[in-house]
Amino acid sequence: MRLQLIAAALAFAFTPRARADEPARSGTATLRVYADDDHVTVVSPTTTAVVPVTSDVVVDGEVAADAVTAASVDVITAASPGTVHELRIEAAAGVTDAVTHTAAIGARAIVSHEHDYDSVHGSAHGRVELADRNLTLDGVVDLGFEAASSVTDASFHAHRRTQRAIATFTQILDHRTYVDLIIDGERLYGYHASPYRTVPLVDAMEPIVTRVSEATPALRLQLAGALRVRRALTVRSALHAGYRLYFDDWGIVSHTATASLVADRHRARAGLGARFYAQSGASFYREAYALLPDGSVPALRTRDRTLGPMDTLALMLTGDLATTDRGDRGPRVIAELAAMEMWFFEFAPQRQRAAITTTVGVAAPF
Amino acid sequence: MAVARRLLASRPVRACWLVVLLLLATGCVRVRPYQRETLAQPIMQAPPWPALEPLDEHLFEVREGTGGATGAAGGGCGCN
Repeated sequence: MRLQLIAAALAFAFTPRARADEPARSGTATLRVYADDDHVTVVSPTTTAVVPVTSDVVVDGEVAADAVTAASVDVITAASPGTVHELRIEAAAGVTDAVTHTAAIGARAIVSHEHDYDSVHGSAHGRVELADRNLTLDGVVDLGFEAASSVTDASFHAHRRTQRAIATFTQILDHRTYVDLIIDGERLYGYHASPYRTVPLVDAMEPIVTRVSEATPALRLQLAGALRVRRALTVRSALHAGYRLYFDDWGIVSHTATASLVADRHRARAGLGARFYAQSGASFYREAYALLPDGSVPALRTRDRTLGPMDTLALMLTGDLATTDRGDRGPRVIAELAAMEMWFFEFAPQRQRAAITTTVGVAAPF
Repeated sequence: MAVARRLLASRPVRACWLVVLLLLATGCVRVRPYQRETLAQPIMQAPPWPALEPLDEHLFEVREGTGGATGAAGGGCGCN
């Protein structure tokens, strides 16, 4: 009798999905333009597609690019002053298999290429729904390899390896509320700096400022946890709010608070969101570095302003419109306008930076 | 290794584990499938606009010193 019960339980656990759950083919195409008052412009086209292969297996693909034109203060003070033009291309492909009605596994690969940088990441993910689908657990394990070179120094080659794990818990609290908890840990080992940035060193005895290359610790351990609440205010509106805490062994602690109000009416959906970010600086970050009393150079030094104390405030207005009466089963046009202000408290060349992004796109089944 | 042990034993990490345990404890709540009409609305999904989420996360990760805990693992970028 016990063997029969065990066999019945196994058969139930591994029952394949019914054909009625077969997902539809869909695709998106977006174009984002970023511009800031630091003379940086980025044009980013992206295309994605999701295609079901069988009733249980779905494959997805993405191609994205970043065309960067920069005359940033970071570039001007670096070894190669002047306007920089860069093109980054990224391609990703993934597969997901719904092994049962409540469990799925998958894998994904992402490759990225610039003329002085290449990266490859591979990940495996799994999802299981428990407690009558009131609780969803997602897990991702990602391994990455990144290689950097320099257009100004043909002999420069450096690399970095990454290992990352992400766990997401989503719980239905009541018939109007979701709560998500995300825990994300990453280990990065290798080269984290930039071959184009140099650090000015001040010597109290000499009027001349010398410049040396950056030097950061080889190992970086990061841990972040986020809590997010999604609550329906009415049948047609919802509030999304979240908080993220991050800290690492470089001494950086950051806090991120987000809130957005989303509503839909007839064929249109719109959302107004705000995001505030505050970060402390790395333990070795200095606004200005000086030679040590014995005349030696500080062992750890960086000119990366994003490793110093900084705040960010962003406001986003997003919307999409169904172009037919079929709602989400038909094409939708998407648009977003966002404004960002960044404050760098220990970076003399630029204390504030303002940016605007404009995004348009279309999502449609095919 | 000692640094990793210190990180894992720190107060923020212990707080995260407490929240996880509380979250799992709320698994006692049962919302039946026929009660989930509101939860199934597109405006309740995270994120509400999936096509824009990778772009937004990349935007912030490049211009800030930290990232993560968004639920997705992205690729690499030599954007420094």
